[in-house]
Formats: sequence, C-alpha cells, structure tokens
Amino acid sequence: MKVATRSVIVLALACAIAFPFVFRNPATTSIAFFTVLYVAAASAWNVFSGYSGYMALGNAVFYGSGAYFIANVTNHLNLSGGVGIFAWVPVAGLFSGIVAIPVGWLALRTRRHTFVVITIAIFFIFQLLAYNLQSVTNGSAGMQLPLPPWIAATYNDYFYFAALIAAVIAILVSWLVRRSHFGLQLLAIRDDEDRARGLGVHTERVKLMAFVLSGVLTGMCGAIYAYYLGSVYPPFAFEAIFDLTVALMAFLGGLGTVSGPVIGALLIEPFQQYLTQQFTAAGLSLILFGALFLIVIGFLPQGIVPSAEALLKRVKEARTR
Amino acid sequence: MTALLEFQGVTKSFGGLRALDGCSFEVEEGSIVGLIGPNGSGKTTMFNVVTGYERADAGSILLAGNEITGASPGRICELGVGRTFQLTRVFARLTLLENLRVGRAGVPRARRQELFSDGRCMQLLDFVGLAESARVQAGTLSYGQRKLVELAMILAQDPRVVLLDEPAGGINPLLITQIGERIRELNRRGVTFLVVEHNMEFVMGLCDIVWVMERGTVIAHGEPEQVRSDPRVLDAYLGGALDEDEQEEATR
Repeated sequence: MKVATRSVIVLALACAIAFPFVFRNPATTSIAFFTVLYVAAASAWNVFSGYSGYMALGNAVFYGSGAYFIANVTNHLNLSGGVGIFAWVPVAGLFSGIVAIPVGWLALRTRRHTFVVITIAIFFIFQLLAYNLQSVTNGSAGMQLPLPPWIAATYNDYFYFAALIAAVIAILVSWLVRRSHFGLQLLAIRDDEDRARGLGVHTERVKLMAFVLSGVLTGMCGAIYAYYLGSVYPPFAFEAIFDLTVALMAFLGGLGTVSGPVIGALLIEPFQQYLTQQFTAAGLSLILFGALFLIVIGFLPQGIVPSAEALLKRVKEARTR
Repeated sequence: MTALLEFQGVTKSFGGLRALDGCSFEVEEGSIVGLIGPNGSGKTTMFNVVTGYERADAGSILLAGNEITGASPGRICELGVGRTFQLTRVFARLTLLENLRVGRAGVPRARRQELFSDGRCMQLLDFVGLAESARVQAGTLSYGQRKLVELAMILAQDPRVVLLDEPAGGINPLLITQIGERIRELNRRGVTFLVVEHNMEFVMGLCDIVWVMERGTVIAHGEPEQVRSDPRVLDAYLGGALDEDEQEEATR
C-alpha cells in the first residue's frame, strides 16, 4: 500500500474516532451513527454485488434477520441493557449468514436481470414472514429490546462506536477480498462468467461464498440498528429503501472498489438523515434521492472513484508528456 | 506416437439439428492438428463438447486414455485442456496480469502460486509481446492483441493440449504470422494443438495433420497436401453441400 493511501486511512480513522468527542449534539451524533452504519452496510453489499456484478436488491433480508435474531436472543435470555448486548452482534451476523445460504443457493441459479428480480421477490417473502410468523417476530406488534442504561447525552456514542467497528470490519473484509485470488475470481465472474468457469473457477461456490459473507456483514448492521431503535417492526427491519440505499451508495462511489461504497455512504447518508430530521416527511428525501440517482447514472455511470482515477491518470499523462 | 485426445462416435443434436453425427478422430501427442470444414460442419460444437460447455448425447472423449466425457469445463481445464473462443473472450476490466491469474481454484495453493507468479506471468506476456501492457485493462486492447492475451491466459494454466478456435480470424496478417510462430514454438516445447481455422494458408502451413469435417462427421484426414487435393474435401467446400438455389447463385 502506498504511503499516501495509508496516511489517508489513518487520518480518516482518527477523525471517525474523534467525531463524537468533538460534536456532542445528539442530533449530530445520530446522523454520524447512521452514516457509519451505512458505510458498513454498503461495503457489505459491495463484497458480493460490487465484485461479482450480480445486483442484489434484497440485502434487507439479512439486515432484518440480524435485527430479529438479536431481539429474540435478548428476549429469550432476559438480557438487560448494556454494552454486553453488543457481544451478540457477530452472532446475529452469523445467523444472517446461515439465512443467506438457502437464499443464495436459490437466487444464484439465475443470472443478471432475473437475479435482481428474484432477490426483490425473496425480500418481500421475508417481509411477509415477519408479519405472519407471530411466534418468532410477534407480527406487526413488533418486539422490544432491553433499554440501555445510558443517559441521553452519551446514548448515541455507544452505538456509534459499535457501528464504527462493524464498518472497519466490513472495509477490511472488502479489502482482503479485493486483493485475494477469491476476489479475482469474483471480478472474473463479473466480466465473463462462462469464461471464468472454463478456466477452472468454481463459479457456484465462489458466488455463494461471497453472498454469504455479504449476508454476515449486513446482519451485524441489522443487529446494531435494532438495538439502537430499541424495537423491531417488520417494515423497519425488512425495509425496501435499505435495499436501494446500499446499492445507490456503492453506485455513486464506484462499484467493485473498496473505497467507493465508503465514499458513497459518507455522501448520501448524512444528506438523507439531515433531510429526514429537518422536514420529517420522508417523502421529500426520497424525491431528492431519486434525482441523485439519475444524476449518478447520467454523469458518473462508473461512480466517483473510477472516474476520479481516470481523471488523475489523464492529468499525470499530460504532465509527463 | 499415442493419441492424447480421442473422440469416439461423438453425437450431439440441437433439437432436430445433428451438429455432430458419430464423429471420431484423434489428436496425437506433440502434434499440431488442424480441424477444417465448411460453416456449420460442427467444429465449434466439437470444441464445446470436449471442454464441457456442451454435453455429448452419445460417444466418448478420452484424454490420454482416460474418459473425460461430461466433465465440467473447470475440471477439464484442470486436466490440462485449454481453449480459446471464436469470439475472443478476455476479462475486459481486469489487467492483463490479472487475466492470466484467473482460474485454477482446484489446485493446491503452492502450485497456484507457482503457476501465477509474477515472473512466470510476465514471461508469458513477454512471449506474446504484451509485457509492456501488463497493467493495462484487457478491454482497451485491439481485437488481435486480445487474441494474444487469450493465448497467454491458456498458457498460464500450463495445458497439455490447447484448442484454438479461429486464432487467425479477423486480425491483421502481421499478427497472424506472430501467432503462428508462437504456436510452433510452444509445440516444440511439447504442447499439443488442435486448431479450427478458415484461413487455409495458415492451417496448411502450420499443421502436421488435418481432419476435415462436414455435417457433423469426419470425411477425410491426412497431411495438408493430401487433404488439399482430396476430391471429397473439394466437393464439401465447393459443391456438394450447396442446394440448387445456392449453386445458381454461386455460378451467377
């Protein structure tokens, strides 16, 4: 890794750690929490969809599964609120990973456009299940999680750091995948799947592994989110907007790059949270969201990171000439 | 010499069309074998059946005496059969070096690291004359250069036999000469080749033995000179296969 890249990473991480100590307003730290959470979720999405080119629009399945898992665990074990609950976050991730195995096995029998439609369909099946499987989800009445004993002024900080750890893990996984032979096989699948198969890539296995990995990371985010809200309801756990948001973030930043989804999330989530706080009406942010999507597709079809890289390269070339 | 690749009565139909109709022939180890025939005679289907992309309806395919009929494309690659495609297929958004490193998931890590080491990959790129573009995305290269990348990709797998589907198709004469030279050099190092090609000059100049296919079956084989003057071959290419309308058109 280049020294410049390393310095940027260290600086960004230092800023991220310092943030809640500098900004004390709960409205601000709440935005920060969601932003970091979405950095993790968008990176998680990218680990499968960004690298393989399979556009999954059903990652909320794993988000929701993680949320319901931690709600069930805390209720059944009668856990009381506190930092200890966060220990269940990785377990919730593993649970979502297990959910991802049959889901991936089924969805990955299809390709490209059909795959997109199948993931959306599976998402709605899970949402319906959440409404109707009363015994594990309590249906539309929802489930409550234990209340943390923290005072309002520092309440967000605990969740912020939990989300930050999840984000660091997701980025690290994304980076490790990108530079591994496993990641190279995913990228080869993106470019020409049959060709990759002909070169001895076990395409089915590679795709499913990445899909499950993405599910594990997303499930962790869902569990943190559930604990933050203190309750889980079907429309919040299995949220269609989540499916679109993570994809849009990765699109904006640059598909299949490690930093792309991070940058996308850093740009989109604060904006969306701010709009929601200011105007409450979620409708307005959705309209602006749609407009942003069109701008990205229209002017930066490759996303910010690849476009910037191309620009940088042209500048360099011009200079050496 | 012994047969490295052997086809015994291979049959493959697509709906009502018999693309391969009891096709039998063999490729001797260490040779360069040409496979020619008019369009639609089943050459590419043959390639697809050997490399596992299509499943034969009947018959068997042997690699060094072992049956490989019906194995998956990945498995066949691991057994040492490499192929290129009629319409060149490289990974467009990967660099050339990355292109060479795709695949071989089934082999132990140590062997893979040996196969895909920087030194070996660079050597292969140098061999096809593209070492300078090692870190360039494959999609930015010309069609002919991509053919060379595809050849290097196959060589990176360290194959025993390479199936080339129209290596000289659609590229400039200079590159054709270069590709021919590379094939001969690899052959000297022990790699066996099976080449489908429409460029007769190229095939006749390159191959030791030529097999001729028509309508899914082999109609002739022999040394290039022999095949060139075989009346059945001339007939297949120039007359017999055409129906009356086409003949009329041809004579017009």
